[in-house]
Amino acid sequence: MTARILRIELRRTAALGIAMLMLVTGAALLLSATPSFAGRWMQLAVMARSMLMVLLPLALAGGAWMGQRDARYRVNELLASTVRPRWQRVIPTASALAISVVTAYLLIFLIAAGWVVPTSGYFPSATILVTAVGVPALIAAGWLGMAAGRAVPRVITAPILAVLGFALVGLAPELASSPAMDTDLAYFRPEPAAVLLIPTFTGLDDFQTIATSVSLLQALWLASLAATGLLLLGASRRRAIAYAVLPAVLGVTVALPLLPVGGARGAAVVDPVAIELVCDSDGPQVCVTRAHTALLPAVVGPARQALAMMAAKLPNAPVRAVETRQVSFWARLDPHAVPARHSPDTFVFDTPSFDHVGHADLSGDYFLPSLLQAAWQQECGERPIRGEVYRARMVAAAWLTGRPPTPPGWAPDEVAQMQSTYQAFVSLPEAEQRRRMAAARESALACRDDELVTILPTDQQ
Amino acid sequence: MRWLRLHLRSRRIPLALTTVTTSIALAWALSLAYTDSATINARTASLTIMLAAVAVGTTLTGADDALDRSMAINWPVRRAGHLLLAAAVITALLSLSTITDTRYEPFALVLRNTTGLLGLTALGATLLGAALAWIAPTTWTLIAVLPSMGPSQDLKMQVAGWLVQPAGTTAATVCAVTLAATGLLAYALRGCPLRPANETVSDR
Repeated sequence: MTARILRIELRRTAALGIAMLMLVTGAALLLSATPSFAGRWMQLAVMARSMLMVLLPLALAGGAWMGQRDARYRVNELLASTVRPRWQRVIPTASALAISVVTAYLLIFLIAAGWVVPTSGYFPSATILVTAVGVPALIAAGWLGMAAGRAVPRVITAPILAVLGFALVGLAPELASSPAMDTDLAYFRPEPAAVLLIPTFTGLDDFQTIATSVSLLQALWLASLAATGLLLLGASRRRAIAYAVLPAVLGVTVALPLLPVGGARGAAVVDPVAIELVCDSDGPQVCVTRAHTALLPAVVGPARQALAMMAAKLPNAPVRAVETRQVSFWARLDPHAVPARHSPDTFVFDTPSFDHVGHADLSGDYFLPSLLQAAWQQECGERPIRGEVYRARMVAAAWLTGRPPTPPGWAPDEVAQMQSTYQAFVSLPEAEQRRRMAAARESALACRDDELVTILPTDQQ
Repeated sequence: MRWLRLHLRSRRIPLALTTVTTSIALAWALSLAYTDSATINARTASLTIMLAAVAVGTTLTGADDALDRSMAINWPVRRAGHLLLAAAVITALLSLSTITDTRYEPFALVLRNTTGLLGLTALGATLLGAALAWIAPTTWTLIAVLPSMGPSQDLKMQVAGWLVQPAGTTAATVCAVTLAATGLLAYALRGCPLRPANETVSDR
């Protein structure tokens, strides 16, 4: 019987329309940002979770609309007079809404997965769990919305709930971290643990994953919230309404003390498999991380070219190119951690940007110069880098190519200064050029960038 | 006067006006309490204006449209007047804040967002009925106030996020004007779709 009612509810109520609205909105938003997740499962899961910023308000509003149904058609008194418990009538409608919002969410994920499957070389199993936490979140939003719509059967309830929901999931985390500049360095003070009760994530580094315990705690809390929504919806007496709040309170008391501080940065851990190296040893070795396997074919060519150019001019040149394995500073709770230094036989390059399908986007000729500059770079942890250091690196990279530096996007007078520095440098005897560049590299690899600057003549004019 | 009062009551204006005033005042009070800047953030302002427009949306139909239309009244003019008056009231209420320290400004942005969202609401009411007119403005506003949607040079972003573009952005203004004109014309000429009497009640 219930199954038949459920089928009718699915076919004939607003549930289908709500799901369509969520599907179209979510898919359009997600597909307009393909470079931020293409080829990477974990990023897709995090993007799906950040889509909740729109989907949760829509589920709340849609739930409110469905919850008003009886009042809208003025049948609530009629139905209240039937000799059936209220929950029997509530369950099919609530299930129909839950099924439709969850289907919309999963379809959005599957559609976007079309941009991940062809290029992804690594599927972290946490993807499933991180995505799955969105399911109880959406169900909770839908059922709480239904309960609110039933309590206040007015048209304006739905948009007001949407605005409140957005304020909660979209603005509250921002408020929790906005005035949070630390005094010694520009990084963010950790947000309180309660931020993780909100199921949206805004960013995660490619090499990170969400800790399983955090996902499980979030799922527990959201499931208890959904239970509260359902109990509120089924409640017909005051006491039942009071009892309905219990699961959510219980969920918070269990989850909150166990959740870490620091929002998404506190919940993230480095994924050891994602940062394993995948190498092409068909010639000088070029390695990328497992999370970025799709980049390897595009990177190998420029990286070998850079290695050859270094070998031609630089004494004791690197023979191996490796992608950086450092998590970006904005994604770390402790930005002061100092990474291990790499040896002089290797140069470490920054990850190139991604294009719409998950391959490396090397357009604009920025990549080879950045590879050449990487010979004078060491991973020294977060610290301020002076402008001259960047200019000195560009001059050094230009020295490898044998052409004056022409970096795009710099002020003309700075480019002119770099070019005059370059001319002064190449007018030195060739052995002297080589000696200075090798010395500069040695000091840069020891994290003393200042010597890289002084090694260049006329730069401090 | 008695007719006007009856008309306002049949359209549930008092309730809508209360909602409009409350949401504008509440967002103003929250901004006054929690921010230091003199201008209310474009996102907060857009969400507030959206709630106001949606509240007006519930007044776009009476209890029984079919009965209404049997009257010998120039309905297109009356409907257009209703919308224009609503736009004027919302803009005026928002502009009241300019005498305080926390303001809905600049005026060009307030006017653009109000007319655009009202037009979108009216368009929704014409196509889906007044009870569902909230869907389009709510969805579009939710998209426009996303953190990733700030002021931009990209035309697509300027249209998708027209609510939060700075005043004077051509694409955003064109988008708002188009929505306002289409909504006004469609609603004035056609009105809400005719429904059986018990379904047209968007609020009791």
